[in-house]
Amino acid sequence: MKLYKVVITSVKKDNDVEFWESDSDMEDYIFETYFQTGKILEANTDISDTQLEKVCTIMFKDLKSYLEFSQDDVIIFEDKHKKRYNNYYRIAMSINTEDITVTRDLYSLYQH
Amino acid sequence: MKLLDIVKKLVFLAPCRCGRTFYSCEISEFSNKISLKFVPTDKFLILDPRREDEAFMPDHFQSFEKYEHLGLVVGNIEYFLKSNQINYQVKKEDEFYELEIKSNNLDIETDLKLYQIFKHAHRSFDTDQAVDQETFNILSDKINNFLSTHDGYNVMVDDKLIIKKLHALSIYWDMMGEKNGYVKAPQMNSSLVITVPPKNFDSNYYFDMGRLYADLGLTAISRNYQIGFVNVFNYLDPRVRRVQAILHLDFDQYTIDTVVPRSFLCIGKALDPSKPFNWIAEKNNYIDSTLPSCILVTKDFVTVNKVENEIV
Repeated sequence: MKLYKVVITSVKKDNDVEFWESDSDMEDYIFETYFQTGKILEANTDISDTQLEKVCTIMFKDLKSYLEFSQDDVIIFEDKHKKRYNNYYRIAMSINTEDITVTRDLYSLYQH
Repeated sequence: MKLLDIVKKLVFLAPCRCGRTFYSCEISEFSNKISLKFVPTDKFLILDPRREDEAFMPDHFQSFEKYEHLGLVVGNIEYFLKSNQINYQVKKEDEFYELEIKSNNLDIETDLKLYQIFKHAHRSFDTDQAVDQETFNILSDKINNFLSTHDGYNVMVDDKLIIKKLHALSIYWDMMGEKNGYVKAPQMNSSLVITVPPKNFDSNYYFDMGRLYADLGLTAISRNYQIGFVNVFNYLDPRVRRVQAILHLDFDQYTIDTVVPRSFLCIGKALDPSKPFNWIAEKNNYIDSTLPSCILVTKDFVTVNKVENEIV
């Protein structure tokens, strides 16, 4: 079983600015479109003790699900503005992706 | 108070967004009537920073707001005149709109508090308190009556889930990215959202829509509700598709140069009546959590002249 893991890391220089935060309707959209359909299995956000680094880890069901997400015009539209915000406030962002092979037992952990 | 003084105050009390004085008002006082001539002009627009932010908008967005504002000031006065059984007539000419009041020399005891409240956009509503059915029906009847002579749509939304979607879109398309994603016009998060857009762009329609909105807004306030206007809307956000049927829009057909702008009137009870009207309850960008209103900052746009003998 191959899952697809995406790690988005944002780093800022000081705490005078906030990290980009989606509105709650956007969270609803992602929940309805990707969580409820099983395309995203899990997402976690960790913020460092200094509050300067935010790591968002999203586990997609497979590469196809990730591609659908990354080509979704709602996601693209928000991403464009997130990048503009990050540029404006000098927040660095990186995205790393990798295939994850898991056993059937481990996969069941993602089926909440 | 003399009718002329009241009318002049009502002009100054008309709602306007962020210092946008889109017109001049020439008041002529005759022995038996008062004439107010509203002429669209950019002469009195101030350079509020928020206006600079909106310089990118297509001309028809600036224009629709201009005619809506003209309608609001006329509607503001009409509401007062109707409430006091004073006859008047609204005339549309090529270059201006005229409100002719068929009397003068009246001395009226009045409290203009209603109009003072109307001037300010309320920012934080208690969305757990719905607009009562009687008020809803009164407002709906006024809209349907308006639409019997105007080619537009009646959109009244009191569904919380849909209002949440509208709220998420209540920001200008070019401001996203300068502000964090959660920052939207807070007043859109209300109990009842109304918009009565035209089917096609029409300045005279927007003028009459402004008159209607003044009537709706003042009616709602007189029934102990608060109101706020929202003219910011992210027409380019693909999430519009989820509300397009309600708003009579087709996201895949319009462009920002062709979309017919919507203006939203938001109604509800104050979330915390002890707070100022412009207090924002939700997470926001403002240091003291109040969103300042930029009022009409000049009185120069109103002139009064006394006409001794009317030439018929």
